[in-house]
Amino acid sequence: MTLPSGQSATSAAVAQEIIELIKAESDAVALGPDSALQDAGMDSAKVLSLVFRIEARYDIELDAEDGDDLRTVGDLAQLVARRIRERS
Amino acid sequence: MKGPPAVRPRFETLHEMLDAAAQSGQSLFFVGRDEKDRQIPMADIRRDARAFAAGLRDAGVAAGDRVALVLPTGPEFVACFFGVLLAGAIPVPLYPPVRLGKLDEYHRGTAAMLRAVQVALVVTDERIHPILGVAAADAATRLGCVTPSGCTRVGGHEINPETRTVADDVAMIQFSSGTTHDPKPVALTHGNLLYNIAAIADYFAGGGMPDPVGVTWLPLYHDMGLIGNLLTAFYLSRPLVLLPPELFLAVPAAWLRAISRHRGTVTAAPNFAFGLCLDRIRDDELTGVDLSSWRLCLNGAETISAEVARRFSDRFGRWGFAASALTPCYGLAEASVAVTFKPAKSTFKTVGARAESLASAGVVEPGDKELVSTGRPLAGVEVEIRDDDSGPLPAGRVGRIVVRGPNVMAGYLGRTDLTEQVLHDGWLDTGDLGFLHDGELFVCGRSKETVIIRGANHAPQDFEAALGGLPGVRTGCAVAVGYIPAESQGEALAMLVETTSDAPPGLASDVAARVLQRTGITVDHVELLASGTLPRTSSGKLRRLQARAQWLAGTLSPPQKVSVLSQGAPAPGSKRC
Repeated sequence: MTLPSGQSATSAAVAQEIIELIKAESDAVALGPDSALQDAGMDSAKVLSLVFRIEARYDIELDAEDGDDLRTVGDLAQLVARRIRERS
Repeated sequence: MKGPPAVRPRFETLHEMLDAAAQSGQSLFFVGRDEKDRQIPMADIRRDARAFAAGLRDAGVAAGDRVALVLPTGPEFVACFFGVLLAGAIPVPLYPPVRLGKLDEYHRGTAAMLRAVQVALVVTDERIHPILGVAAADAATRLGCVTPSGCTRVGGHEINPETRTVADDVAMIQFSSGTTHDPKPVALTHGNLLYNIAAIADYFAGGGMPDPVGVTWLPLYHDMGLIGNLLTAFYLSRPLVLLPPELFLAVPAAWLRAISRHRGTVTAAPNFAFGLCLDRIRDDELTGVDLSSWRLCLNGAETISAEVARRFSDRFGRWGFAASALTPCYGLAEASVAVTFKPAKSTFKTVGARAESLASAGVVEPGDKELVSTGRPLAGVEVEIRDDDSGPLPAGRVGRIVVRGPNVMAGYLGRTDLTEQVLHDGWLDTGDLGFLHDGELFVCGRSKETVIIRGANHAPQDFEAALGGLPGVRTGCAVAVGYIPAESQGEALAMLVETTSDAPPGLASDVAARVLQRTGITVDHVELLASGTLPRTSSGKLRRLQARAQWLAGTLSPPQKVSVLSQGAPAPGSKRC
């Protein structure tokens, strides 16, 4: 199981890619897996755009319920890695 | 100021309009996230709408029932919208949840809207269904929550008993700018919608565009997308290309590529969309794109920046975009959708006005605040500027914008109290401030407290409520206001917050983080204030518009110290912060 970048789909690798996707949406500079998603300054339009990019990049679907227990960038990466595993 | 005489619509009801469109051979084109088009003939929409209508009747939906639609942009939304109408019921389009968003806020807001119009049934897709069950249960909808496929009669489309619909019947309900807890259901009749669409069609024809091809990414639960784009395409039996809103937000070039691919001629979008295109589209994303077919690029639903509009024309002129296509417009949900458009074939006008004289004296004097004309009233529509006593004001004087015409709503459904506040003798008080100049309408402010972000209306109370329980904020002593920051492309949110004596350092960022987390809207500025600074009414209610004006003028200052002896006791029963 590999990412579009060729790396294996570990949470750490996914987290790094997601950090890059978030940086493309917002002005947040210092982001790591432990950063709170809200610190990235993502408003609802940016979240819509981020979800779209994640879904398109990994060919997965995120659900509305998924948001409730997500706090950090790392949480989001774990969720995405899980969806990638479920897909394959 | 009057538009041309009203144009009688081609159809009495949306049912007749659907029948005609289904026979036209025209189609809708739904753009997928891979930018591949899926063609759905309008005839198929009608077929599916009839099967769905029969299913709704089987499920117990009766004539006049309200049916909420919580569906993403797709053929199902369109078929269900018309299906509800064919069943004799009233569609109520609502926004779907934002994925990765906080669901409790969504549940509360949705349940309040369902209750406000006593929705009988909620229709949603498989993905949203598990979530909406909670909101539907909270609102005690009579028939619960279904998916379109779970409510379609297989192999049958006889709708019994058939209902006879007339122009004065309510055709749909759209939610305007009330608070999350007290939303305002705008009830529009078939006549309201069709007169407004006929006026838009008249504008198209007058501008030499009788056969438009629309390309839209606007959400279909918003008036501009639903009425201005979708229903107008059915009215004219013309193709419409629809992109999911999130595709545009993530890849704005997809909108321009779709216009090029389909030789699109007409679009509508709020100001922020043009800024997003400028910021995020790279030249190499537009290889081979030709925008020369784009004749009418409507820009409305929020404050229009002349600079953004000009930069958009300059930049995309290289791909054939014509500056004359950019068309500022003005409208609101209570007037169906559209009130004024820039005169066709001209370049939009601006005036430079002195901001201080606009705000304080209500007069237009030359200055450096550039305001964009939203043009002239559409056919059948009248616009006047009134003072606070409802007296008409001459050109060049700032006052309340009032609108009259066959497109103005019958009222807020079941809310005569709210209706009486805005409708007087057929005139709708828009809550916006503006002036007439050279026979055109300029919008320059608001008498209502609404904050408009990216074309969506927000009640300030929702932002203020988000601060509940935040340490350092005086309970109930904060106001949310909209303003246009210097060098900004559009309206932004500011929070003016009174603090407690033990307010923690970093409170401003706490305030911004809390509002973003609860509402999904970024706070552009937080102003921390000493206790008692915000202006209040004699009964202690916060005066948001005055607070905003004082803050912008730099005169928002803490109260003067007074001796205990001269301090009056609070009025009995008044609630002081």
